[in-house]
Amino acid sequence: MLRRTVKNGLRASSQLAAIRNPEQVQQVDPEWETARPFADLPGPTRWQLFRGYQKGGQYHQLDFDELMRLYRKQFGEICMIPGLFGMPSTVIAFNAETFEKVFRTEGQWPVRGGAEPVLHYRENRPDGFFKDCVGLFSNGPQWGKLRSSANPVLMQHRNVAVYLKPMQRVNRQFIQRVRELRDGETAEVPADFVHTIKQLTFESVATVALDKELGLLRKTNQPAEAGKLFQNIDIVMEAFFELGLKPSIYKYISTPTYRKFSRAFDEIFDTCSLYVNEAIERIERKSKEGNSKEHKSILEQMLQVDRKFAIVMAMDLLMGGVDTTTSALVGLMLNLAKNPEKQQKLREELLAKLPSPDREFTLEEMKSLPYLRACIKESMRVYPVTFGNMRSAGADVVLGGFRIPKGTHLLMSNIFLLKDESFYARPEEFLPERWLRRKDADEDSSEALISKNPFVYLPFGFGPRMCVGKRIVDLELELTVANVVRNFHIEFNYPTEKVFKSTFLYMPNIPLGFKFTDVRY
Amino acid sequence: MLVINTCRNASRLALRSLNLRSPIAQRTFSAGLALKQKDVVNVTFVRANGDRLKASGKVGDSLLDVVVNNSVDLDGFGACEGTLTCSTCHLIFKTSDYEKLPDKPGDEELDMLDLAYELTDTSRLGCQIILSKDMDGLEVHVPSTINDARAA
Repeated sequence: MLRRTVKNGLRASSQLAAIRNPEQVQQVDPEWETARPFADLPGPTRWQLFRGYQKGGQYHQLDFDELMRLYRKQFGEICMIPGLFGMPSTVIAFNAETFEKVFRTEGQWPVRGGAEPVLHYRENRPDGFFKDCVGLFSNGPQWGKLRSSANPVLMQHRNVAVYLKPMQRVNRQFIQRVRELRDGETAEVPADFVHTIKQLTFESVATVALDKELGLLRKTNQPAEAGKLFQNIDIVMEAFFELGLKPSIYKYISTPTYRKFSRAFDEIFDTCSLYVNEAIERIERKSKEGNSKEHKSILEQMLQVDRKFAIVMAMDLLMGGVDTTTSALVGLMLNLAKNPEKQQKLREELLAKLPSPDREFTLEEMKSLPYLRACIKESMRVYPVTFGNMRSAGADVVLGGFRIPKGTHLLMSNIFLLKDESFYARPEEFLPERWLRRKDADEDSSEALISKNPFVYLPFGFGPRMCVGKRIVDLELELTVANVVRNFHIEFNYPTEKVFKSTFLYMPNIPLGFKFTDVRY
Repeated sequence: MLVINTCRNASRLALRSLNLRSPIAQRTFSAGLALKQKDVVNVTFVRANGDRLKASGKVGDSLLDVVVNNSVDLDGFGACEGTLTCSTCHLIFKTSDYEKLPDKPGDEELDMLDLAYELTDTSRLGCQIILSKDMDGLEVHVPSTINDARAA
């Protein structure tokens, strides 16, 4: 059903054939000759942009999604935002045909920009730690080599299965923590509950990346450095947004925002190094003693490939896996709380598999939970974690009628399409049923509710450069939501307008006084 | 021009094989001759223009392994190295062969198939199809639209 409509929906496919056909000597986009030149792309001038970001200007202090909305209103479906002060210019696109063409022509080593502040920091660290390895922020053949060595460890399904047990151990701690935290009378958790969710996501990543329990979810004796770490991650995200988007001369002169960014990054580096070095010592001690374990942490597996890359990857996982997954989990809990009948439907699916509260999920059981997966997908449509995807054009392509030269930075923002009625019927409603495949659906509603173009919804991206944490995050979200829902009825008795603040990521921005009452068995 | 293209393809494939040879990404590079005849499974890839590309693998290899190990000239095939993040190893089976495949596609594979070109009801991703002895002589169609933008 969906698959057939997708086929019909691919209008551009025949036009693209020439790019793809290897026998074609001249492999250029057939629209190229007739397309309008790059310089004709609408967008603000450098001066308008600079002025717009100053106090009183039209772009000043806008949330990221408000900024995107304004650009779209002013310039249409595709526009060019000129780079200021040595930053690359970026083409912003808002339509699904463009997304599809970009992903289909991105090539073997897709290039992603947008990480300039991180790269700048890593290249300029006085100790030169990242000199020979900036990790998966790199591009080209170097990226290809690193990604190839990370893939078997992080992206293979069978490999991720070994984290089932450790992750469920963290889930148990989280559930215990909720019971400790909630108010005796109202059963509500404190307003700063997002902090506990961050502890959960960090602990989950740490158990996978380092095979270590940090103790963040303990009632007492929480490690002091961890609280600082979360603060620093917040600072980095905020500053990253400022530096990556707004006009800044940090490349030439260290600005206050850049100093804040780099100071926070220094401290994150120190904390992560501490954890990683401890883990390395433990691993080396263990291997001397000849202790073999049933599974190896990601760090342990990566150390066998390349020591420096292993350390960088472990750090990047710890940093990249907290805010993103926290945002997704908060979205899920809110959606389930606000849609009790969907929550109950999910609970029934889970309890049918696992009627006893003490038993844990096996991999087999996790495979056949279609409604759980549908809830997760739908939640990331209703509350996306990020604005869309970034790539550089992998070839000279025509996008939206304009010639886009190979290497052009592209920002593909799908946030408006996710709420567009022409793509998703009843877009404001949380309807996991959209995502059920025919074999799993109990009513044949899914077909009518879902987008005909799957390129509208790519929360993890697509292709060889898809989010490298995808498999781990899938497992983490599925397990965590499953374990929370079979233990608690989730309620949220407060308004849910403007729940998230939008920078590059959507982060929870309101008190999260969820009410958790025990499910009776 | 054809010669140049061929050289380019060959070097690209060679480069990719090198990439795959990290210690834990060890592929089963089948030494065809050294194998016992009974373990060999012959597969024919039929390109959209009708070209028939013959290759062989051994029981337990995936169809993506067969393409990589035999350097089958399918540009852009298997860009994500079998990690189920793209749909470039999309293959179309005959209905009778499709129905005989032991495993139905999992959710991750279906999600990627949704994003494939020229999707059919008998489409699968080559990286998920594991060869068994009874697949000997298998013929699969390669859609014309595999992403070879890297050649542009």
